[in-house]
Amino acid sequence: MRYKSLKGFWLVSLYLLLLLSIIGSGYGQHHRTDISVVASLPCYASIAKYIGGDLVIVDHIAAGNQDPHFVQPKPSYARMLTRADLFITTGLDLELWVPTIIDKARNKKIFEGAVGYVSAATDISLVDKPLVNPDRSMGDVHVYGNPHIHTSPLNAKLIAENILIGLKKVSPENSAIYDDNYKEFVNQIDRSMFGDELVDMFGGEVLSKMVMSGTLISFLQTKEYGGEKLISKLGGWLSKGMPFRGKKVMCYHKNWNYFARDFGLEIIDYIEPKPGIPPTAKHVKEVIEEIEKQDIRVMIVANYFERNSPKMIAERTGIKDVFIPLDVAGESDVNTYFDLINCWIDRLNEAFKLSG
Amino acid sequence: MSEILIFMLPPFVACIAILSIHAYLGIHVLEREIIFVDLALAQIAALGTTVGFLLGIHVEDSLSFVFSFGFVFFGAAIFALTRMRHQTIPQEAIIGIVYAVATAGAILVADRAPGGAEHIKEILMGSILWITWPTILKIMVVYFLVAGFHWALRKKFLIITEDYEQAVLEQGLRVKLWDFLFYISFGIVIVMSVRVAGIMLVFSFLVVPAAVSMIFSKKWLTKLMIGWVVGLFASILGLYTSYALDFPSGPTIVCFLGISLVLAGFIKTVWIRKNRVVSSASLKV
Repeated sequence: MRYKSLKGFWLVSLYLLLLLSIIGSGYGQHHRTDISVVASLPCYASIAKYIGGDLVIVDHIAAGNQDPHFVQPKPSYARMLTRADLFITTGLDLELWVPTIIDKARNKKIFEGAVGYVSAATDISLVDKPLVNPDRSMGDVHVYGNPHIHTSPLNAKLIAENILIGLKKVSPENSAIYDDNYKEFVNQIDRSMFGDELVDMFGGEVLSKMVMSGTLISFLQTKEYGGEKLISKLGGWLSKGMPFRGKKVMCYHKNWNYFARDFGLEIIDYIEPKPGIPPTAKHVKEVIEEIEKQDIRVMIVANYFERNSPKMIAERTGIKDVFIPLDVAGESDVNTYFDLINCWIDRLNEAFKLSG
Repeated sequence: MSEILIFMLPPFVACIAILSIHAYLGIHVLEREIIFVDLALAQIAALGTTVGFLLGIHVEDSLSFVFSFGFVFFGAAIFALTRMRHQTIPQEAIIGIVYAVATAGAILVADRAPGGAEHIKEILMGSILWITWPTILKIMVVYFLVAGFHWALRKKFLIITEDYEQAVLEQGLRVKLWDFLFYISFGIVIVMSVRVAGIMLVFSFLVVPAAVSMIFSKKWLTKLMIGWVVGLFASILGLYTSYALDFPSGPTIVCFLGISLVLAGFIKTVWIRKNRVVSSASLKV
């Protein structure tokens, strides 16, 4: 008699548990109206927040002060992805850890090529494309070209467009809102980059094309308007970056090549002997000789790298070592994409001023 | 060639500084027959810097040294307190367990921090190649002070190392205090060295020169001299090879120290054989 009632107790409990879980899961989903966006890197999350606004909840996997090449896949990342409606990644061979967690998450919506998968690098023209078939002896070469695309604000506009297309595919009912947000973001980038005057005169698209072809500054320096050279009308980041335009720098890794293209920095060499290979004594000795011969004043190092070799080089040559976050949230106070670019420009100006 | 020498001079001087005091401490350590205490304390020091690293304190900051030393302080206390005359658990077991737990702890802590894996690698391998003169000066001052401390109290430290039983009978519980002071001073040296040279090189500089010297002599001063010579050659060969072949310097020097021990054993065996032949030959006559 006692046994029968105990068995009955367990059966009823199990039934109730099952019922509750079905109701519970349905309940949760029924009330979720916002789009869950997960990005591999913080900069994509920041841009996605501008495009989606209040309609999206964004999150990112890699930390801002973490090497994006080497992220340990963790179960919590896969859990993040099971609930994601949209997943944004560079789409080249930077985040080699992404396929593992996508597989683990088993979320059909965000498999590569699916509706909820955004490749941020689509339609972006890449630099540093390898001229020969790369093999391991050349170091950790990225086969498609340099994947650190977010370091150029002009690329940020194209990344935003790719995210826009993804959002519209995933939630077409809000397309109009996303379009407006996108236009506003592009406008903000243009005005932050060139300043209001030139954007009003020529429009952001024309100015961006000229930066990509390397002709903007010389154009502004030669053409006149209203009795003044156009260069005096340049505002925004490009104007703030004029003090270091044309200057030589040393970099730790090939992180900054798109930034250098836009802002006219000349990267002479890298502390890594080959991409992804830690600095060796022989190569660092050559780097020191180069710095002295070419009078390089500033060395740019992403803040996730080891500090020992840059500090030693700085101590030997007097070069100013600048440790900056490669990505959003890589430092406190750097919370948006705009904060990031501001941070880089301010710190570079500071370094060049200190180095005399 | 001279440029290479100038380039490698700071790492070389750093090696000599670390070797000087480690060879001496190593003779103590081998005499006490508790080899792993260095490895365990070095790992505890590394755990300290890793916890600091997680909290955003870079390894170069003085605060990192405080963290590191704080952990070593506790480790030293544990080791001194558990060195009993009659051991339920052998002290080697305690030291080994502390080493394993400290290593695991450091890995777990580093796992939470971005770039943690690189930090663990650096703690293990060291960064002696990138050392700068200000850092060398810092460690030399600390070593000098510790060496002075040990010279002033050399008799006490000698007694508790060489004849623990005698010391306990004569001085009772105060042996624990001297033991503690020994481990503290030892810990300070380890904390300074690990930040620069990494755990493997610190351990090897401690144990190998002293071990080689034990093969050839029983007198303290002779052993110290032999240890310094062995360490000097291993450092020179190690640094040069690491430069020529693009290897990390720390592990390369460790390999050369290992080779020197094998060579020493070989030389000793040949020398004994030669002596035996000579003496048996003289007997026949």
